[in-house]
Amino acid sequence: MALLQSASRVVVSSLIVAVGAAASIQALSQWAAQSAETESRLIELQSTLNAMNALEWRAISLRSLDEETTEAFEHERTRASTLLAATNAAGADANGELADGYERYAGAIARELTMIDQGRIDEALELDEAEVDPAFEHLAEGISAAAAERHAESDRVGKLAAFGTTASLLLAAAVIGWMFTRFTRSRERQTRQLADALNELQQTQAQLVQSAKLAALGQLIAGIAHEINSPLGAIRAAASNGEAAIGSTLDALPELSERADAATREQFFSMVSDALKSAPLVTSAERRPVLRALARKLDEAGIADARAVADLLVDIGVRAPFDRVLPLLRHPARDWLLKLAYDLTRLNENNRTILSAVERAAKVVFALKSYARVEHASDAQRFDLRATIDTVLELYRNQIKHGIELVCNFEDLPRLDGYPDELVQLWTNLVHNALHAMPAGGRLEIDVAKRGSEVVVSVTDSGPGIPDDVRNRIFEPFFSTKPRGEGTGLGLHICRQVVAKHQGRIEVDSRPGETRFRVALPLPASAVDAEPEPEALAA
Amino acid sequence: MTRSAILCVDDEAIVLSSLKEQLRRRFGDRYLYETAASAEEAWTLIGELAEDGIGILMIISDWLMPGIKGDEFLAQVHDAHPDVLTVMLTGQAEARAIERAQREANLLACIHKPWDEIELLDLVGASLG
Repeated sequence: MALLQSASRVVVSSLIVAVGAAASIQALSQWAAQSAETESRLIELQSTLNAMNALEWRAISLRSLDEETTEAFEHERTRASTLLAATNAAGADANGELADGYERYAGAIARELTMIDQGRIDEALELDEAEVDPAFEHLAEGISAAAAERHAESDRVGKLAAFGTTASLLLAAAVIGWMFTRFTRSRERQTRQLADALNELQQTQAQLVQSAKLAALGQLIAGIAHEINSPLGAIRAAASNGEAAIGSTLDALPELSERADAATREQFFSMVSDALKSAPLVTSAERRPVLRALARKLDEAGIADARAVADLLVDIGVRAPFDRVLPLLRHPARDWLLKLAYDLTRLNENNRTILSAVERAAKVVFALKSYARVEHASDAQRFDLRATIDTVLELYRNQIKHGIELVCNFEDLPRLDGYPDELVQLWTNLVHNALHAMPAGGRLEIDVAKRGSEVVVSVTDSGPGIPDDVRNRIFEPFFSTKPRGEGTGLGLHICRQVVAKHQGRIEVDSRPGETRFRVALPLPASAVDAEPEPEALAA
Repeated sequence: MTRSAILCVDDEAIVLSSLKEQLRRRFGDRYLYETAASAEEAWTLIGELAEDGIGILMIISDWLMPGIKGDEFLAQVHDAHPDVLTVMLTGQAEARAIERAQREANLLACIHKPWDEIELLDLVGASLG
């Protein structure tokens, strides 16, 4: 606003100076022009007198005054009177000298012409010499002097006007320059203030972005604590179990030859060996039917305490067909043998548990690390889009498994160029919002597909949808539908910025039961060139 | 010989597997050790065990699980089977949830992951006698 005012002040001042200068210059110029005009009238008057003089000599040479000469003379006299009157009006004959001189000359020549007309040529010549010529000379001198004066005046005024023009221009230039300097200075000051304000805003924004991230992180912490503590618990238990298994194995092995004969030992080692090779039953849901089937068969085979034995066998790793272990189950040292087999095979199982738990915990820590990073790489890098999405799904694994059906359709993609850390934040916000929209569970679908020269990532939830009046505002900063203190209102704004940084697009489609955020990111040129577009394929 | 079961409920197979082994190593064949990955599966299992005439002595349940959370599950169990002892074993639980389990499920204890083997097994041993 202030900037605009200074600018208009400069323009107005310049105009005033320019108009003022122009007016005075015009006055001076008019004056100069007038002087020049008077000068030219005087010169014309002189030429009229010259003409009259010529007519006089024509009459003398003709020795008579013919009609033509009379007429021409009258014409010149009228012209002379007019010119004299104009000269007088212009103030060039202030003392009336020219008018008097002309009167004398005109009177003398009129008498001379009358003499010629009367044939008194000699008298006329005398008059000419005595009166007409001196009057002519005198008048010519007066006219010449007046013309010279006018010329000098015109020259002076003209110079003054020219000087005025220059001076005015210089003045105007000075004023404009001064105003412009002031304008520039105030603009610089304002620009600096604006730059400071922008800088401050950017810092604030960076802080807000960071605090938005930390707020989201705060909401995640609970789940993350669980995500880390569960594998830690498993590692601790498995390590202790392994230690116990080794201890009791070392205690038991020397007794094996006493408790079992060669054939039993062979059956025993063959069972352990098979068990170690068997695929572990990962989930209890996989395990339960196997256990029940085995327990039933053991019961049918007359094995006492079938369920407990079956459970132990399944934990050892024994799978159907169990006929080969039946002799062992009927062996008098059955419990001792099964315990040894359990210790031997559980060593392996506990190692597997530890490895799997470490992997789980490492994944969580890695996801956290890439999520919470403050400094984003300033240069675009080539990265795996899938990995950025996996990081987020890993972080939200806990929330997702609670009543949320997760469906992922990932097409194979070339690597993209961009800022993976920021995309992690983008997916975090979208997944977070999707889960927030489905507190009682639902379906979260993530699709990644190549579309021409773009990759389109869709995050779809089965929540109630975004109301129409809200949809236009969701990308605005600080707009939040979440209760105060729960959302920063920056999530989707950040999403839009991240998408813009990748020269991509983000769109939302929403109706009850299906809200889809679609993010389109450009593929690197090399990846686009490598494969023809779908249209080209169709053609 | 009919024995009763200790039921472990956790959505992490590695937790179930190692916890069960700890129980078996300490208590041997005194109990059956059953596992379920969710409250829903636990209910199915409780039904199956009942068919086989096997009772549940104790349930050691995680809190943060798919579907029904630990406190709610234990409260439901307590409703249906008031004699069953309940223990929560969790990496993270809201204070409100623990209070609810104590109030509505007669919670014996809430043990935090990564759990101390001796603490857990002593608790189980002492409670089951």
